[in-house]
Amino acid sequence: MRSKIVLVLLLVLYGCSFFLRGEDPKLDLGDNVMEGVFFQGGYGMQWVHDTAAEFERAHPEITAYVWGNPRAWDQTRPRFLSGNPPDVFWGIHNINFWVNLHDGLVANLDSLMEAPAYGQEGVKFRDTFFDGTLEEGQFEGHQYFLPITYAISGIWYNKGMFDEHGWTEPETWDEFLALCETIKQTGGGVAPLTHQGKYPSYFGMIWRGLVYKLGGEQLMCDMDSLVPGAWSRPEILEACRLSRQLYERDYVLPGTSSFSHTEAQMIWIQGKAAMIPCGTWLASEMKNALPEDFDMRLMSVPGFRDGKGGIGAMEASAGPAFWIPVEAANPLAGMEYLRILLSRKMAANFLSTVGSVQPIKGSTEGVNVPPATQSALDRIAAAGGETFAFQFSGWYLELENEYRNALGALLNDDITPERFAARMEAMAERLRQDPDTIRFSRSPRGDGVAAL
Amino acid sequence: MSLQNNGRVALLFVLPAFLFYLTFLIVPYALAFGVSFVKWRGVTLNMEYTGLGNFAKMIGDPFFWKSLYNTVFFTVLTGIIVPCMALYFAVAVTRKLVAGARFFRITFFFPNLISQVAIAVLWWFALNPEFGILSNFLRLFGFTDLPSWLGEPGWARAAIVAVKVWAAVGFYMVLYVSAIEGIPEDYYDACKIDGAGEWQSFRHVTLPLLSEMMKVTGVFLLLNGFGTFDVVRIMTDGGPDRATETLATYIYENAFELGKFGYATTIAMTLFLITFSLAMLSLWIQRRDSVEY
Repeated sequence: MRSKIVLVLLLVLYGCSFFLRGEDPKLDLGDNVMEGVFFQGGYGMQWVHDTAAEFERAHPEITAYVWGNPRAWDQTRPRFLSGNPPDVFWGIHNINFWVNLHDGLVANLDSLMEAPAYGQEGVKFRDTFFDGTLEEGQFEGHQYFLPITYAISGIWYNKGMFDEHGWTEPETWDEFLALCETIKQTGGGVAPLTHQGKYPSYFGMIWRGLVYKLGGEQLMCDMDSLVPGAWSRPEILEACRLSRQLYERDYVLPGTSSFSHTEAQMIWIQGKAAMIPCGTWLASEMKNALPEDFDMRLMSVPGFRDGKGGIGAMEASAGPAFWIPVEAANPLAGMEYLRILLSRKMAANFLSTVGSVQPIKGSTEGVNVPPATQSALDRIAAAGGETFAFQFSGWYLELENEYRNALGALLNDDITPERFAARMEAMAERLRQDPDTIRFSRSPRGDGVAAL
Repeated sequence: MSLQNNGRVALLFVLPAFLFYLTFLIVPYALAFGVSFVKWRGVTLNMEYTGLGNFAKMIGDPFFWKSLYNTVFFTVLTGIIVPCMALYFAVAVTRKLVAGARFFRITFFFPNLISQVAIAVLWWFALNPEFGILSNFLRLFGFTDLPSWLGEPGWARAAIVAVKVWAAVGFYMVLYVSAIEGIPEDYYDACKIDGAGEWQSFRHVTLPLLSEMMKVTGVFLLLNGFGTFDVVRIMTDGGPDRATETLATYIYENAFELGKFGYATTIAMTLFLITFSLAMLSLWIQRRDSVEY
């Protein structure tokens, strides 16, 4: 009897499985659907839905089905494998854009770039981008990826705290050290600096700034191009020594080496440290933790009067983000979504809802730019537009991993600057010898913005 | 019913389970074995046969050796500390050496009711050098120059071991408790009559009669140690500077971060062969002498 009951229950469960198998919301939307999948993080999803609404206004016959997830790439990978990817895609974790391109997953966007800009008469889509920002998504002269933001990085400081103590932004590294000493002596227990130590690439914003300002564009391009010996040049060793100096003089909050990004940023907001390296996404990432009266400003990584890079040059990047899968069911609709997403109208909407700048000309006009973001734009203007963007992190993931690990070890005083350089050189050599590594090269443009 | 018929019926009964096993275990393992000989990115069906190329690369990969070393380090340390502590607690609560034995039995088992991920997150907060409970507790006693627990290689490794031990002791304690409770009380009575104390009873009765259970738990600990992933992934992400990188986290990095599924599978197969061989060795040793009572 008991076994019969179990059997009946199993049959009922099996029957239920036909009705409770979970719905695919896309199936209910008809045949003419454009699907977009996006990374869901600090920027939220409002801008994605706003663009979808604009898309449907422009093309009422097509339904825009957009969704997001923090692990967008991991979740969508099986669909790429089965030849059923979405029509437009943005994922950040665990993704290697260039290997995807190499594997034939990424559609060529050249035709989109030649299309007219959405909502602007007589202007090509290509010409609406900030100068020098499209190149990061190009390979052999063709456009494959488009950027989401114009991320500006440097050192953020707590303006209220600075004003209260009469501290001012330093311009040179010596002035920066003097400021750190003053904060240490007069800050009432406030540490001059903290950083996201669990992820040493955040400190890299200071380290890379030092390297650029010491070695200039040529060194940056050589490092990105894996030129033999580039990673062990004297400027690299000097940048390592200067980075270590911050620890040796006790300018870094104790315990920093284990802080995750949100922990370190929270600790900085709480006023336990005066400065922190980060990009312009900081305010939106921490918006739930920011007190209303919290005032933050971005400063350039201090430079050198005799350095090869401009003293106030800013690290600004419009790295690869959006792309259209080759096997998308509706790639033209995906491109159209991108044309609308990166229009002046939607970029202005992005700025007003998210607080970050997209690299679209005119998108900051008439928009109430948050003071924090404005300070970043002002720094670029003050530097005469001189910006720099290292590419090795996106081009060579193994090199980026080794860089993070070695930089963390350097800051921990586990390795010397010479050892750091040797490790990076060894990894660069390993990649040079690896037939599977896609090689890139870049050369200086001479006007401060490097061409790829 | 003839013997032959019996065999056929038995086969019929075994068939569903075997098919299940074949589909979900043997076939995936066989496929994985195949993938370890190819270059595969995991996003297209393009695979390139490389023969033993992935294995040669693995042997020349310093990060593989570092991960293997760390994995062995965690396995050996937890493999020594966990049984010792679990046995100590098991004896203490079964032989009523402490008051409130029942309370301790439940308390020590408690971490097993929480997922490893939650445990790792909990400890990650507790070990925060700024607002974590450990640092603040030590500050109460005047310690000021405290390390960054998860940010320094030595401390980070120690922290991983400590958390793994904390999470595992309760489970093994329960196993030992059940084994100790299975030992006839007469043996202990006999000990008492012979004038043996608690230590001598433990040494000459409990320990020898627990040897079977200790071997079983040894295999468990071995498999658990070599599979160390979640605690490391959450608490240190393999850092600082790969000081806590294990084979499992290195496999994850290669497969899901670097998109090298072929190479990652090669390491996974190696890990499988190591654990399989060690488990077989343990079972073989176990088979050689068993205690009956």
